[in-house]
Amino acid sequence: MSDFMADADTLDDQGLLHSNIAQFYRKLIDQVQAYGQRIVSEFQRVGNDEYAGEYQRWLNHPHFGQLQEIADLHANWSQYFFDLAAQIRAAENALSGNSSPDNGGGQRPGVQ
Amino acid sequence: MGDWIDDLLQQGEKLPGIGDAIQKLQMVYDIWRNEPANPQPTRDQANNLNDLFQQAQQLRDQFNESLINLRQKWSGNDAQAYLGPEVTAFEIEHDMEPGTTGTGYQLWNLLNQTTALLNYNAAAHDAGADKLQQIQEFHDELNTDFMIALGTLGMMLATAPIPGVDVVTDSVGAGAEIAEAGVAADDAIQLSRFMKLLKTVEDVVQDVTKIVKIYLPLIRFLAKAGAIATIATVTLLVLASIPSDSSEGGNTLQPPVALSPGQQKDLEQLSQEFPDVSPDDIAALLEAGFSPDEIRAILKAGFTHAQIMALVGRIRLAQQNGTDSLGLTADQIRQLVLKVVAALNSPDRKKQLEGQIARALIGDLVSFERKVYNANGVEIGEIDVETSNAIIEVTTSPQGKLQQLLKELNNPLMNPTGKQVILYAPKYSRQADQLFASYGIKIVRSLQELMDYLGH
Repeated sequence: MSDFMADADTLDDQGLLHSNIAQFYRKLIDQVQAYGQRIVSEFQRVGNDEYAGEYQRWLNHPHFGQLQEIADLHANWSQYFFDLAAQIRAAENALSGNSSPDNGGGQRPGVQ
Repeated sequence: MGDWIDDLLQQGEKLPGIGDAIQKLQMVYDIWRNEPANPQPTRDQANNLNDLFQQAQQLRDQFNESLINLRQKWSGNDAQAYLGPEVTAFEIEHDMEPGTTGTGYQLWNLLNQTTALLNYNAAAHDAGADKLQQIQEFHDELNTDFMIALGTLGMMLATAPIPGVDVVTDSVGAGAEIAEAGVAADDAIQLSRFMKLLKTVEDVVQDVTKIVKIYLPLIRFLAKAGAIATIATVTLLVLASIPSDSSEGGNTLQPPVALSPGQQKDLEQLSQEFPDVSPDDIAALLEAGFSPDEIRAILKAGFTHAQIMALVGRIRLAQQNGTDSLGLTADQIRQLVLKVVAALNSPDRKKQLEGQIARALIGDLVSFERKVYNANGVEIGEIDVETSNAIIEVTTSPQGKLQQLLKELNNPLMNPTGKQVILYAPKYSRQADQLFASYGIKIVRSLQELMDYLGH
């Protein structure tokens, strides 16, 4: 077992980064799908069913589900780091005699 | 507009000596008659992918840096699992990529792969938009040539039998006349006038000059049509590829599970009872809300690591979003799993078989042994196993399932979304395949065959 050491601010930063990456993956899925549907519609409009079908298959491919899974993983890790940072702060406060229950572990800037 | 062009080409085929040209004109017409796709939506997607690529690049670099910095500020068992082995001072000094075994690295690597794939797909879409633009430009140019060719043909058909009219005599002005004829031919009424003038094709005098005149625009035309034919579709790459050991629920990349003190005791107890099962799997089941007795039943029912992770992944997703990707709540997924477990632990051979199939498909399982009722509350049937896109009827008999399957296939109460119906029948003879296939029903005889057929 390794000795435990942690800096709450650094853990919070890591949580924020994971949160940003999770948001990025979700935005990627939404935007690629939205722009992709316009391509499919255009091919359908001109009666090119072959290209429309091929592109639609790309949009339906399970890789978008996998991207969603990766986004969820980052969201989970984000929560993990935020929770750990909050625990560290609570422990530090307890040791220093400060009774404040949450020193920065509440709503984080930029996190949705 | 198409009908009169078809008529004109059909009439032209009867002209002696230019049948080959007419055939080519017909081929060109097939290309010309289709409006080309506007390249703008593809260009917009290319720009979107390029923007995403740049954002991904930035996040990837930040992530890399954070993994190196984090090591200085965080240690312990979780840190070791997340960060992997220590990096050397040399690696830190030279901003080298982080170690390759920690979860953090694996997540970074996925982001790195996504970044590269975004870059490729942005370029592929750009190339696709360029090609669509080329097609559009060619098509605009072909418009003129095609009309000239049609006009020439129309004039040949119209003037050939009329004494004293010879379009060939004015070779210099012929192009303009033909072009005018082409525009005139755009009007179906005008064309019908041409067609009335035509008497018999046998009267048409062989005139090499005329044939050359129809060929000249055609040759240019075909050169461009050929260019269109060479424009191939652009290959797009999939945007994500999770390592196989984590594809069913993203298990190995999940953060450590935080258990309550009571759950910690349960974990220790269950780990002693099931020494061959990974404590992480047991912890994940506890965290997913299963009681110790339910976990015992799940483990006795033979769920593999991948299957446990698949079901836990679904429950976690449902806990976060209200439902999982198949629309089930966390509680519904737990109940579904427990029904499968009961079937697997049942002494009934058919139930065991249904359970084995459901267990193998647990990541995509929508319902199991689901009874269906009509509006009066009368039971009309039962669906053995249902996934997101298939209904699977299971039988241990060698025959006698066709009528039931046809009901499942066609009854809107049983199969409201028209999912494919599959018969899992290890004892059915091969002779039944053709009969069932004629109703669109696939027979499979083993789990492997079923998984292959469903693409799992």
